[in-house]
Amino acid sequence: MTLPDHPTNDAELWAQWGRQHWRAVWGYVWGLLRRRDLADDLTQEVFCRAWQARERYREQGLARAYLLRIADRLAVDHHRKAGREVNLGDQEWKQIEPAERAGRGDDAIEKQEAMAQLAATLDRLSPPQRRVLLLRYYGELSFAEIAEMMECPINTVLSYCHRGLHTLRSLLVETDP
Amino acid sequence: MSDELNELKRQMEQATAPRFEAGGELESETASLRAGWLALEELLVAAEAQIEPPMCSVPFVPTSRRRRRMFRRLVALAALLLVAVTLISYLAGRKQTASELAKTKPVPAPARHEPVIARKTATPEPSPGKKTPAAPNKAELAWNDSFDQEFESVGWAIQRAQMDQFAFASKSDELEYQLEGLRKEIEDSSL
Repeated sequence: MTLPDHPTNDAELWAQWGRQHWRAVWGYVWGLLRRRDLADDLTQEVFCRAWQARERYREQGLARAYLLRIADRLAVDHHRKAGREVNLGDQEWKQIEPAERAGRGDDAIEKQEAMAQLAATLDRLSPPQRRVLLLRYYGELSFAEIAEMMECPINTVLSYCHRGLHTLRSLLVETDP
Repeated sequence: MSDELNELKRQMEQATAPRFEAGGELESETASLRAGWLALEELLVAAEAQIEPPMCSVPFVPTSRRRRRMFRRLVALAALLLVAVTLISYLAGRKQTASELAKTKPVPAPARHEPVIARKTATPEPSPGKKTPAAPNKAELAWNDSFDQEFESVGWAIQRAQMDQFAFASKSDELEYQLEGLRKEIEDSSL
């Protein structure tokens, strides 16, 4: 999958590219920040930046990894600046969330429960553990690539992964009836 | 890379391998870690199904953050334009007012002040060799000039007037000295 040369010529190809990778990028950003509004914004930003840098992009069959790199940088930048923002709690956020977005009925409740369970699980991981596991899942990156992206030694990345998996096992497997 | 690190890497790769790639028997430790990974994978798959990707098309619909950024840029641009327009209109208005004043109410050029000579006994004619600075030209004080030029012209006029005054004062001192000499000669003479 390559980036289109021109939006008017390859708009459909571009849309397909977005459809293939949008969920992964959104999921990665949401997994790191756990806020829908930020995930929406940053995912759009990722695709826009990828579009702007399309001349520099070379096809290597790693489109998703390329997008996740941009997403990772943006999410980390945001995390650094997050101290200046006012973060709302779940209850406060639900009060201002538009009604149509929150949804109605059992389906909406199921969706919210799935997201809430995932959020609770990710909350138990440290930020670097979360980053390593999410990059591994969404980008299918090698540990060497993750180490390069996180700018740390590979043994540190492996250690994060190991401890993260331990936590997940104790949270999700050992507590199951 | 040490053997221990290689072993850890192999273990993590096996534990976190995609579902379809995993095969063969795993060590007990690796298998337990993989169970944690698969549980996370299930949660992520379930959550991913809830994500509704927008209809991707180029250009993208601006997000609220981008809209806010665009709005800020527009406000900054508008403020800049407002300042520029105000400045231009102010300068144009000032020029226009000056030209209108010049047309409707011509102001005479300031009269040249005659130098005041202290202790004057006689009004000597200035010597032909010494030239006094020329009087300021009336055209220099025209109302069509900008204020800066007018200030400059007035400054020059004042400086010239002062120079005139100094020249006449030194001349009168010299004459007074000569007259004093004559008076002494007359008093001392037998006449």
